[in-house]
Amino acid sequence: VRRWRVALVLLLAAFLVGGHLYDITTQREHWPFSFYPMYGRVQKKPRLQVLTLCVITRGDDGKRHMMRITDDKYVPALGEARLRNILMAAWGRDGTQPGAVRRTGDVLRAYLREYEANRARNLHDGPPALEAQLCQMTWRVKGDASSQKARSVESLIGVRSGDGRVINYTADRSSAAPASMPTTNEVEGDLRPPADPDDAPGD
Amino acid sequence: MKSRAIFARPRIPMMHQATESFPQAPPSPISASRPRRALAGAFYDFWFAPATPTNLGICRLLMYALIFWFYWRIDYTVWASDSLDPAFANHPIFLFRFLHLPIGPIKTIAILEFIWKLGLLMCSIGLFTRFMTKVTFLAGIYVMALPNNFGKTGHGDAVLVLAMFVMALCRCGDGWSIDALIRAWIRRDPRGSARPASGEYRWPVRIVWLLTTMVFLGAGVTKLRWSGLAWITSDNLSNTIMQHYYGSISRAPSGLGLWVANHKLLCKIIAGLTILIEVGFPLALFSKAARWVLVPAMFLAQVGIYQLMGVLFLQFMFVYLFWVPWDGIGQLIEKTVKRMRGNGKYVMLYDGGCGICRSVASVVARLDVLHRIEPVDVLNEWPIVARRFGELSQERCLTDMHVIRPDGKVVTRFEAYRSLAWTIPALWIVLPFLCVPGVPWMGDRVYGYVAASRGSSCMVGAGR
Repeated sequence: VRRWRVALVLLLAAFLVGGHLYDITTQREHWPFSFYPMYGRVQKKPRLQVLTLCVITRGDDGKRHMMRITDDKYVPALGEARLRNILMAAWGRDGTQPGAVRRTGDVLRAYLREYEANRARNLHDGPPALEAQLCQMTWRVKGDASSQKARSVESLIGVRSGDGRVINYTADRSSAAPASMPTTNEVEGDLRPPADPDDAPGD
Repeated sequence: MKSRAIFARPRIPMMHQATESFPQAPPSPISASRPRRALAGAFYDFWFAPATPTNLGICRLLMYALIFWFYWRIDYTVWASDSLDPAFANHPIFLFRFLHLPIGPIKTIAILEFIWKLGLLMCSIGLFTRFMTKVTFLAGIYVMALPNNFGKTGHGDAVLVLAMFVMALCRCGDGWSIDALIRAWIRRDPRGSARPASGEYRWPVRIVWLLTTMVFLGAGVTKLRWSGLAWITSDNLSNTIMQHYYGSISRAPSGLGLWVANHKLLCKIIAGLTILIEVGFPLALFSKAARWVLVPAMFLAQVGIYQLMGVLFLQFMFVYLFWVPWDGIGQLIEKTVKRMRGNGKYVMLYDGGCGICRSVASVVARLDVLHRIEPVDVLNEWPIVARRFGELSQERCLTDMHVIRPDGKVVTRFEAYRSLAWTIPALWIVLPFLCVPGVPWMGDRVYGYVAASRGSSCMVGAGR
């Protein structure tokens, strides 16, 4: 092997190792390098807490109902898991970072537009949306996987369908009372493919 | 014949190669320099000890084929700037920020996606490999990076992008490729060797080993940094497994995960082993024994994650291909075939004065990975042929292709090619077609037409 090829190969190896080591050391991602954080956080409590997308609709009884979006037919282009990731990226850890409310509001507003446009084109059979919300759902997990109903559903932020107004429920908890009750009309996806490792709740 | 062997192990002394090419420390009378030189030699051998093109060629073939299989149905135009609201692209990755890459429109992405997927196919079969691996990498890195700008960085395909980068820089098309067959056709040398063993065929495999190691090391170190030993000693794994049975997060294929999650001690043992394998994975680079333990263990761990939690690392698993000793498997198959069918060979007689015949014989010889075919030139080596097969006439052998099967039966023309197809694994796929009634008759006519149209232009050498 020629000397310049030897040098090239060693340089390439150094670049690939260096890229990974930098990410591992700084705990920051520079795709395609990474520090591979999947399942890195310890899960000490037997509970599952996920941020999820919900749509508020008006039921036949005239009351507001919360519908958790888990079926990809309601998110045709992106898929539910990806939209959840987009909302998580916008909201951050707790929605307190600068711009988190605005960014999340933009995503929810864009989603509402898609939802209504697809409904108008009969691409899904969902009811008209009054509001799109980012919610935090919590389950108490058990060894027999019983009680699949969420222990709590907490609305974090919502965008109204009509005027596009953003409601930050975390800022004013009292205004969120009707929608932050546990869901009574969930739509659960039954035909989801095996999950992407990057959707792991431990991430 | 040995040098032609595609599965043959390199026989060049490794240390000899090392002292020739690797920059060495100047000789010193101090004895301490000897271990240093040995270390430098071992380091050089790790990267550049001569290897046949077999391993790298098979890895290339399978890796690109699997990537194509995995991604060909995925439509990347859904990520285009005119498909999705810009609000969704809220997670621009470093690559896009650094190079100021935009999220392209549907048309641009569709073109790049087509080039990438076509490139994957061409790289797999090894057609224009040197050029196509570069094109495929450049188109692929953009297309595969696109979704990572939306919400979250994925980790399944990054290692494939880096593996494609390595392939773009190496000579992965020298073995097991259409390019190799084209070269054989042009060289017209059935006795000629394939590409000789070289360090050029070892370092790409080793770089992918290194990549795999960095991934697992990174995962292990991150777990320890974020969670410490609590990742092992707490109920972490049990809780993590149970989480996947809630909230439509994933869909485990069975209830095995719940059974495991209910056995807390077992979960702690599994968690401990996981950290041990991940952090200890660098040992697989240097120790053959560690390789035999750690690589299958990590593979099984990923299969286990799917079984317990329904989380699949499928595309990532393609890099395990590079850890398989394909040449060793080839030797094993060769030995088994020999044991089953004996040492007898198919003797292929070809006209050494005819360019087409030599090209065809050369390609057949390159496809003969089981080393069951012996090409013999009836023009220049007739005394040998006459001594071995006294009943044959040189004139007939120069007119038609002859093959003498291991059982002594002589077959000619189309039937000769069909008998060779039985010994060439790459042609097994067409064997049923060659046996369809009518095909032999048609094949014989085609053979006759090609043989008759051999003009003076295809005459080579001074034998005639």
